[in-house]
Amino acid sequence: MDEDEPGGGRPAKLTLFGVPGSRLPSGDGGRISDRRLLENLRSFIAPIANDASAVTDDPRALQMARDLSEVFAEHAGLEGLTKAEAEQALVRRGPVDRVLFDSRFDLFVRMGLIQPFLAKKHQSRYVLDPCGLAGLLVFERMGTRGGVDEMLLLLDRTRWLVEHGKADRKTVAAHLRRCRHILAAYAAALARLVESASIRDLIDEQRHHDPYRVEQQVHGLNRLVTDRYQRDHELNDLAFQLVEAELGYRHQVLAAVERVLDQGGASLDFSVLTPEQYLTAAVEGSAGELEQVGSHLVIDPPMPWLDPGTVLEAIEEYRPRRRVRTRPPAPADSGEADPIGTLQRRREHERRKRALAAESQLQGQEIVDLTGFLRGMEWPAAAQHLAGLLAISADPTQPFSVELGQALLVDLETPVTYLHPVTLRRTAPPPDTRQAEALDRADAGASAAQAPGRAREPVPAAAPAEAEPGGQE
Amino acid sequence: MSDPAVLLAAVRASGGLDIEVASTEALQAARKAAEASGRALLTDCSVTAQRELGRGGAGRGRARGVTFRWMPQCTPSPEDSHAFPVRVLPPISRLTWACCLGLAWPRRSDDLYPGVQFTRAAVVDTAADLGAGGTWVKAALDHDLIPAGLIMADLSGDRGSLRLGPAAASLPEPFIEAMRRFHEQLPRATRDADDAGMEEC
Repeated sequence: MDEDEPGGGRPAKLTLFGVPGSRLPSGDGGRISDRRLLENLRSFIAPIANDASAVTDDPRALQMARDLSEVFAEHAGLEGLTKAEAEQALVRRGPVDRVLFDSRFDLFVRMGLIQPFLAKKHQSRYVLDPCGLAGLLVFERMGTRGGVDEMLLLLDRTRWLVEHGKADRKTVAAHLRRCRHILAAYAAALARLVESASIRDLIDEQRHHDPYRVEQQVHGLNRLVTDRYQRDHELNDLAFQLVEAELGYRHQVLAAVERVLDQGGASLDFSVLTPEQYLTAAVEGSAGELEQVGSHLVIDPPMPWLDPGTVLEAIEEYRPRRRVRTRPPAPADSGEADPIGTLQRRREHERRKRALAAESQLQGQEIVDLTGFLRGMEWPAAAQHLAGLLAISADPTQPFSVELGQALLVDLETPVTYLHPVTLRRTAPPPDTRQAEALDRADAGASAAQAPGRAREPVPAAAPAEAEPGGQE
Repeated sequence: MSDPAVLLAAVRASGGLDIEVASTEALQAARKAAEASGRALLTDCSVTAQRELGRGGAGRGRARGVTFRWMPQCTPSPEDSHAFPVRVLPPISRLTWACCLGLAWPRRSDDLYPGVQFTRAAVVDTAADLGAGGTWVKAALDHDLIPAGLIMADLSGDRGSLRLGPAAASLPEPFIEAMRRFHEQLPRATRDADDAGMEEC
């Protein structure tokens, strides 16, 4: 677990931990999962994204793009493939989700990854755009290495431009600035990860970086700029700033390595090393060295793991027990609680309305001739009014009567063509009605006599005279 | 206890250890070693400890203890990553734990730990209001939550008094903040405390 770093330079020997620049070859070439690849690509796509969903979350979409690209690339013909042929070729490679294929194929056509062979409508044959294929390769590299290769490529190209004199002074200055910016950005990102990332993420990140190669490139570039532009203080200053940025970047990479060694090594976190490194240690390590690994293993007792989601699920799984009985909801079709009472109220309302209409017709007189009034009405309003008058006349509780004359009045010009003379007469109120009213008044008088607070309320004069002997008195 | 390795092993094995059994030097060395493995040593929690009482001889009591908690950047989240299998409590134990949290943590703005004292009877009643059987709730307390250190018997209080244990003191901050967001969903006691206390548990 020790590193041999004479003079602080490149480690001469790797014992347990992989150090930057000395990655052990792995069987999958450092390939990461598609889900992780898509996560890495989001920040890459962000500068040109239309919205946050610019990069898909479905790793199957990425695999579909790879498969489709290979299908088109392996097709021998020059006129491309139809959609059905592409699907058949995919089916021969393995199971295909048809819905996913349709959606991705249409999207690729709309975005130009797959283009019609002829630039006309309703073309059924398609070819692959080489730019899309190159983009797929770039994405693979960017997502896998986190863009570190691009940083090295930029440094290398800048050095080549200066070395061969292929760029003017302005271009060289722009390249030097861009190199410094990208180094500073990586240093800041590493500093954040050193502070906050899990040991697993930190291991993944630091494995991408190669600070010694960056150091060689930057120092070589600095020497070149100093030699070629001896009197250009601005370019020399930019090259020096680049060296400073490289120092900061290297410092952060080493801090990441240090934390991995300190924390990951001390905790014997098995994920610190790759499976290949474990295999190498098992094959090449002595029995004594391997024994030391197990002697410091610390194992926590299997304590239960609690996360908020499972706690809330348990709460939602149990429903409160009702303590208070509540009335069941009323049936939806029972709009009226007392239908008979409603009918009686409606009938009473009709009677009162007719009585008021009759009083209105009488205008305070005892008798009135309604023949002219009815002849002036429209049809069937006249018939309805006459029916209402006849109904109130037939009601024994109402003090009205209607008399129909024997004469027949005929008028072809008016809506009411045939009519008998109609007379409305006020009659004496029926005895039972008067008796009931007298009883009500007697009750009111008795209540007033029994309640001291109401003793001084005026009592209608007619009430005592018409009270029944069996009343309150 | 002067050997930090033994101290760490004892804390790991017990879930929480009386701080008085460890020397200051051992504590400092253990803290450094724990931080190297992504753990922080928490020294302000309560544990149940064996104590020498005055004339009464040896006894059990509440003492200031030491336990582990995950450092923020090292807190595992197996529920998200599914990187390794974890032991998940059964639903009745999780419900009982939620009842304990609701009783010990009455105000959202307060810290979850140390919380307030509560009783077994209140836990049983609160869970019973949600339809959980009393026998199952008591079994969850005795066989899951107390052995895990999430709940501990408060021997300084009345019979049946409980409070949050050292494992609750070391709950990760994301868990506490998540529970704070859903604080109103935690079960609460609805019966009078006197009525609850009268029930035999």
